[in-house]
Formats: sequence, C-alpha cells, structure tokens
Amino acid sequence: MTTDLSPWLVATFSSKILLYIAYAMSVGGVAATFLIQRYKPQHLPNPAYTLWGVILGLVSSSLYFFIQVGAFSESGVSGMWDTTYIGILWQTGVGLSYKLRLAGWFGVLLLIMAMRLNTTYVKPLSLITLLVMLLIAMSFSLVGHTAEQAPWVRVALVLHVFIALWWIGLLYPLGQWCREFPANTLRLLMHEFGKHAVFMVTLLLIAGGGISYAVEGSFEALFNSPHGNILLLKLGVVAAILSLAALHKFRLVPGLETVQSVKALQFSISLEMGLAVLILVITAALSTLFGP
Amino acid sequence: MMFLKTIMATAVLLISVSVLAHTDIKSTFPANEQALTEAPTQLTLTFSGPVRLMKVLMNNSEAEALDIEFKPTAEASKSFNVSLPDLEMGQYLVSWVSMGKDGHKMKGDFSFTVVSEGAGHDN
Repeated sequence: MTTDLSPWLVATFSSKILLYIAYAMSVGGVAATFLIQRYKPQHLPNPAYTLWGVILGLVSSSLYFFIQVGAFSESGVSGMWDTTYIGILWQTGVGLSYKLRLAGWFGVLLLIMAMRLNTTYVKPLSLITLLVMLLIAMSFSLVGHTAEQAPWVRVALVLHVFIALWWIGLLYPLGQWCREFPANTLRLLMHEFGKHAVFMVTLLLIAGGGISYAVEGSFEALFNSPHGNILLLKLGVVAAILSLAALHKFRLVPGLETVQSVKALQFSISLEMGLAVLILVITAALSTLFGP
Repeated sequence: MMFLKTIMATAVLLISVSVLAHTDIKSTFPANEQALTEAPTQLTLTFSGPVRLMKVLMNNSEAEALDIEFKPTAEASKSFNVSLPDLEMGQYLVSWVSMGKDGHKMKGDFSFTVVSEGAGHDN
C-alpha cells in the first residue's frame, strides 16, 4: 500500500494552508472586533480583513473538496467534476466537513454583514460569530489523523484549531493597532489581549499535547518516525513563538510609552506572524504529507 | 478554580489514549504474484478495517484495461468482491484505490497469473 507524493497530495497540502489562513483571518478579525468594544464601542476594526478571510474560506474549502474528488477519481483534472465521486465524497467525512465549512462561513458572512449594517449590536453579534466559527473548527475533526480517535481527542482538536488560529489571526489586527492607537490605549488593549491569551494558550498547549500523544502513540515515535520528527520541528517553532509572546507580555507591553517602544512591539508582532505562517505550513505537512 | 478543573479533567482524559493507524489491506484473492491453474471469476480485497473502495482497475500483460464493471459506492466495508469477465491465460495487474474512515487515500496493486485456461472458480 502506498501514499505517494502525487500532484493531488501537493494540491491538498496547498489548499489546506489556504484553509488555515482563511480561518485565522476570519476568527482573528471577529475576535479583534469583540476585543476592541471596551475601548472603541460599536467599532469594526479591519472589516476587509475578516471579509477576505470569509471569502478565502469559502473558496479554499470548495477547492479542498474538489481536489479530494479529483484525487479519488484519478482521471486527471477533469476528474474533479466527476459526479459519481462528488456524490460519494459528499456522503463521507470529507463531505460532512465541507458542509460544516460552507454552513459556518456563510453564517459568518451573514453575521458580519449584519454588524456592518447596524453597529449597535456588534459585541453580542461578534460573540455569536465566534461560536459559529466553532462549527468550522469542528470540520477539521472529521477528516485526518484524529477522525478515528476517541471523542476527547476530537474535542481537543476543535479547541486546538480554534485557539491556535484565534491567536494567529489576531496578530494582524494587533499590528494595525500599533499604528492606530496612542501608547497608553495600546498598552491597555495589549494587556486585555494578554489576559485572554494566558488562558487560551494554556488550553491550546494542553489540547496540543493530548492530540500529539494520541496520534504518535509513544514518546519514542517523536524521534523514530518522520511524522514525529516534523512534530518536533513544529514544537521548536511553537517554543520560539511562545518566547516572543512572553517577551511581549512581560517586557514590551509594560514598557509601551514612547513611539519607539510601539515600533519595537510592532516589529516583534511581524516576526511572530512569520513564525505563525511557518507553523501553519508545518501543520499542513503533518496532516497531509506524513502519516503517524 | 474553573481553570484548575479544566486542567484536571484533561489530565484524566489523557490517561485513556487509544492509537489507531491507517487501515491497511490485509489480503487479496488472488494473492500477489499467485499463479492460478484456473481463471478466477472474482477478485476479493480484504482490509484491516472498514474502507470505501473507490476504484479498481485491471490490466492484462499488454497493458490493456479489462472491463470489470466495478462501480464505487459510499458503503464502507472490510471486504469487497469484484466480478471478473472470462480470463485467458496470462498475467494480470490489479490496481485499487480506497478511502479510510479518516478520509485518507490509500492505493496499491497486485498481480497474478493464470497459467492454464479452464473453468473459473470462486474464492
């Protein structure tokens, strides 16, 4: 039995990266809207960022589904539209995952349109939108290495995906706020984000640890298998991004007073974004190119 | 306090870890590289767990595709039978594609040889 590196596998890998970026943009944009309400009520920060995330989400999830159809029909690019295979995949976990993504992203689209039309209820609507986004996070537990695992592993994956992409997706709005707000308001905003992040990141690490242990099966597998080695690489980059986050929380944010200190934070957030993209690429490789 | 409870609940759940590898093919009839004195009337593919058999192709030694009338369905099963047309003496290559419960694609092939013509027999 083989799982060779076919063009379909490369296409699946690429569409998965787009899917992660789309989810990060959508959830991060909405989370930024929720976060800023205390300091700027009824304000919609970066509406284009969220909207493009939703559009990219609808496109990349459709792309992912039809790439799977093409991969299974094995009849070239035209196999992506093979109605027999579309019908079969629609009834499998791949189809259910696509349905959840469509329902989630169309739901988010309606909710962000409602927020743009009437800003009075931005805070409750953004919270509802974040809950709808959990539907999309659930879609990741229906396919891939955790799909056949115990229910707690799949719940952990939903939390892991949601929190990781919440964090990654918030980095762009945080960087924008460094330009938009004076140092004292920025310090309060970053402090607020830091409070949420401590809880969320702790949960993220616990969930990530649990999933890794369940998927790898043993500690030794980290060193003895390609999947384990790539996971170690991911852990290394995660350690680097956590160190940057700690630098922000304990050093850069408390020291936010001058224009220079704001610029230092902005630069550090840009570095964090670079590491975040690297984590997404490694994660897509782990879930597509390497089996545990 | 709530946070501590979450950590404790997760730690308890961590103890009951189950490990599942991808579903693999267990056996085929005819077996790989088997020489048969009678032409088989059907192929049998058996997997270690339920899968969806997505594609089965069969070629003769001239690399010509045989019409085996395989129709993929969404039904998952551990074992699949595929009816064969009358086979002549010669070597045959069977290629298959399946989807595991986790949506992963698996593929493989096996070959067999019919060494003399005669009445077919079932698995």
